Amino acid sequence: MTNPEEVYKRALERERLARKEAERLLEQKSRELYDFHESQKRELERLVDERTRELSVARDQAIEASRAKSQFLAKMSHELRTPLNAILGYSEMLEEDAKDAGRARDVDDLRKIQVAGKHLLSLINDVLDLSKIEAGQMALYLEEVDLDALVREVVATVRPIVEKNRNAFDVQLTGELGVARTDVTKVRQTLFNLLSNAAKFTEGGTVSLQASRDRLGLRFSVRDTGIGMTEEQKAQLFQPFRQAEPSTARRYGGTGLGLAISQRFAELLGGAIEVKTAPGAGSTFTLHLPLSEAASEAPAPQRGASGSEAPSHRGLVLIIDDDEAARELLGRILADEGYAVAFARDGQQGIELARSLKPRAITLDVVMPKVDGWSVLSSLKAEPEVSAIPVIVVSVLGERSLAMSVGACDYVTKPVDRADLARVLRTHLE
Amino acid sequence: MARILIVEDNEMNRDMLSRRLVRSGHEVHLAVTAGEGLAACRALKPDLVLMDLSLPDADGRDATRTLKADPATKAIPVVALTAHAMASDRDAALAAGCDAFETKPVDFAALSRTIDELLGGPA
Amino acid sequence: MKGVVFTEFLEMVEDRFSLTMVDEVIERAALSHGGQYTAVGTYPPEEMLALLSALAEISRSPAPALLHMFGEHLFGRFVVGYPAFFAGVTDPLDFLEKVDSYIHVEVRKLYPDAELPRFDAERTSPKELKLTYQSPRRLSDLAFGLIVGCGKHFGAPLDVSREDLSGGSGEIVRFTITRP
Repeated sequence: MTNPEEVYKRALERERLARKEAERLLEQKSRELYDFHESQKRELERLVDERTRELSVARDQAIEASRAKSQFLAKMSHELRTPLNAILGYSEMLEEDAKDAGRARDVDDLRKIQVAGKHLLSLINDVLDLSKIEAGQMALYLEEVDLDALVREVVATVRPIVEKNRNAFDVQLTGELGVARTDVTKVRQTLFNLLSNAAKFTEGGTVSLQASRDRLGLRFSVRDTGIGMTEEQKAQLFQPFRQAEPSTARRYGGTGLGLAISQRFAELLGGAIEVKTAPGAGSTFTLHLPLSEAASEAPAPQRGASGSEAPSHRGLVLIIDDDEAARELLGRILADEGYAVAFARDGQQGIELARSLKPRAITLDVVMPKVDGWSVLSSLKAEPEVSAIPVIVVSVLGERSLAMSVGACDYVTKPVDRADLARVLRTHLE
Repeated sequence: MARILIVEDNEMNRDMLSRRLVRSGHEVHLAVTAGEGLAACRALKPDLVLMDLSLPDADGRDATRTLKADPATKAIPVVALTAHAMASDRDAALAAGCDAFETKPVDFAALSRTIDELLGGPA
Repeated sequence: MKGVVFTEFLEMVEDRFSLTMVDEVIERAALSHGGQYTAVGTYPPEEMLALLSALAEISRSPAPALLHMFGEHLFGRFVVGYPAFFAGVTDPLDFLEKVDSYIHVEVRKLYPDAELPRFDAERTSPKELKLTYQSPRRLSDLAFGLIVGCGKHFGAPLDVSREDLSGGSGEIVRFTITRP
């Protein structure tokens, strides 16, 4: 029974059969794995499709909502202006009649209707401007602007308002301002607002305008010798519908929206409005506007023997940071290094300013609400128009390799070391 | 003084504008719709048209295009009037062939200057 | 029952006895097929019992002792085949304690159809573990052998006593394991 040869034969046969069965099982398992994988893939694809559909519906709804809002604004504007046309027109006609008939009291009353009507019109304009800004629908119209002509025009318009309150008007232009690529309507409106505000709150004093252009861009300072403001009043200054006192509106008129709009305009243009004031000591509002490289043309330098030679203009750097103190610090360092600066206080504004200003370089904060630095970076790198602008990520997070991998040209950690930042900028810009 | 055609559907605005223009010494003709306006243009050959851009039967810009396409009326200057005050509205009006653009509420002094300029200075 | 148990059993028979013994055991067990087993297959547990009693008859050894021997052998094979379960473990009681909570959990991930015995562990002291075996297969002798094999692997001879908690049926057996 135990013939060794037969034992081996049977053992071999068992091994052979076992191998075949193992192979069959392996084949079966592979097939199961493949089927499982396929079904997972189909499920995943289905989920991706579903999410994509949901997202596209959400996007369409958002676009539709935004479109509806802008249509509403346009319609409201039209509907409010049409009756005002009749009110202002008829009261002007009646005023002419009253004047011809020598009815002085009627002339006076009809003038009041016109003043109230014009006030209502400016309110409507301001509310619409502000709504457009808040809805992100305030577009910039950039063109070559003759700044000297613009200032002359604003000064001429505002002079009667300034002189109405027995104020002296002191206009100081340091050299020629030249030509800049900017939105003339918004600069004009901002200057007009600052000057007419100064005029309104000053009686028997002086309103002065200083305008200059240097390596940092344009600077317009409006100073008055009026009533000034406390710190609390200053803090509320740029809030819509806030004037220093409820009685202020009655006494001085105005919509309370002018400064809020002016500041938003300045920000849209990458600049800022800075205020220095104290009660009884008057106020100084300074509008800073950066100059974009592309089409700005400073007048030929005509520096006299006096005055130190300013460092040469090294180009515009856009600072994107939600923290005001950080913006200021970076701005100061860059200005000292001879760069002109523009500021964006959030990611969305940063992207828009990069498009409109085409800066030579961008410093980008990472941790920002809504649109963070990484999203800004990927948006910038996806647009051919701005993708070549070097972006330096400035962050407290130690994410150098991540920053470089998503397209930053360099990385600087906060707190920023002045020499470090200067060196990085020189490396990439020279 | 000039012969001016006002094409405007809002009765008060039409009345107010026409009376003020008459006071300024102009001869004024009125039309309420774009269709009436085009017919009046061909019949009267006015020196200038004030065209409201939101008319009941047609867009004032289309009416202006029609005027500017007709050799008989193309030389007549057209001033667009609208309560739409956006910069894009101005661009669209000028693109349609309007010679000037005034927003409502109308600043009558500014409108008078525009009319004088288009008619070659005050008569 | 997983095929690996059958292939390891037959390998043990070949090691401890001979290839001829393997052949005889399979012939005597009168299986429904030719006695070929692959580690990746699954086979009826009755075949294991048939092979075991065939071996007991031919070798004239008691089945419990053979099962115990197989347990020790099997543990050695686990060490070679699944080194991941042994990484970082130095104490045999630590290892035995997590058989149910860790090793069997992992085994079920790979073989959802595996029918595993239950091992409830109670660490009564650093040197003592009470491990309660529970299975309708009544293979506590195999478990005993595995426990002893575990001690040998870690170089710590274990003192193991057992107690039937199922009135002699062998379905529930408590091992009290102490190490020096």
